[in-house]
Amino acid sequence: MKIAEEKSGDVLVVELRGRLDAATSRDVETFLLQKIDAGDRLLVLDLAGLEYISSIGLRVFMMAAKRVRVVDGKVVVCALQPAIQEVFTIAGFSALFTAFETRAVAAASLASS
Amino acid sequence: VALLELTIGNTFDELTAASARVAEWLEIHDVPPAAGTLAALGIEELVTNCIKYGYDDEAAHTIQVSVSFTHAHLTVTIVDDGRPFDPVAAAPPDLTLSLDERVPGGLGLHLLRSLADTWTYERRDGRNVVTLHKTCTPQ
Repeated sequence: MKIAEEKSGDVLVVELRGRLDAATSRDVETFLLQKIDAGDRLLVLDLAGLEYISSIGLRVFMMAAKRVRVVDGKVVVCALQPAIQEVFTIAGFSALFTAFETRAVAAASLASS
Repeated sequence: VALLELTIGNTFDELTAASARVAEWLEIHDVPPAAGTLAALGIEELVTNCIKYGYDDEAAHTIQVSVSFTHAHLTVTIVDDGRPFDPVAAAPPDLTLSLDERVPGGLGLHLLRSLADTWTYERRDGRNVVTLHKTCTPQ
């Protein structure tokens, strides 16, 4: 799992590449929660390079969303591959995370919110 | 017939190693993504549950996993000697709740229930036997 970040204005884009599973979820959870605790509250998760997600990975996204909600923030996602989109839909995550086609549109939606 | 058989110890390190082998095997055998996702999730979710909740003792246990792929049919079988647990009968999570009310539990089995064409459970000779099937539609 590779984690990259890009800050533009108040929006933090986090790019996750690889597999988000039992082996990697701890690193991603630690990264996201540290960012949120340090003050980031508008997050885009760029999932273009995410190949696989299991329930423990979904749990990390849910924890991040719950955490930013406390500080009136928001987490959105973008560029989901079909297999990831299917898992999101089955898990009911489409109702929890607004999904955008591209990182730019996702970031713009948060910047104007 | 492509067949992969693995014996996994009940630790997360062993699960990680097994998941990596399965991912490599799925790629080598050109298993379509929909079936590959089910295979990877089936192993991760069921073995994770087994490691976390399956045993009453601290002893080492092994979990047998087999994955076969032939003529677009994927079959995954997972056998463990943990306490009896029927994942097929587990209650589905309530997906209509708001973010504040949602809890993460139950999603793994719900993914398997939704992605598999069929899944079965039986308790056989003191073991849990779970079998997942999926047939890929031609591209």
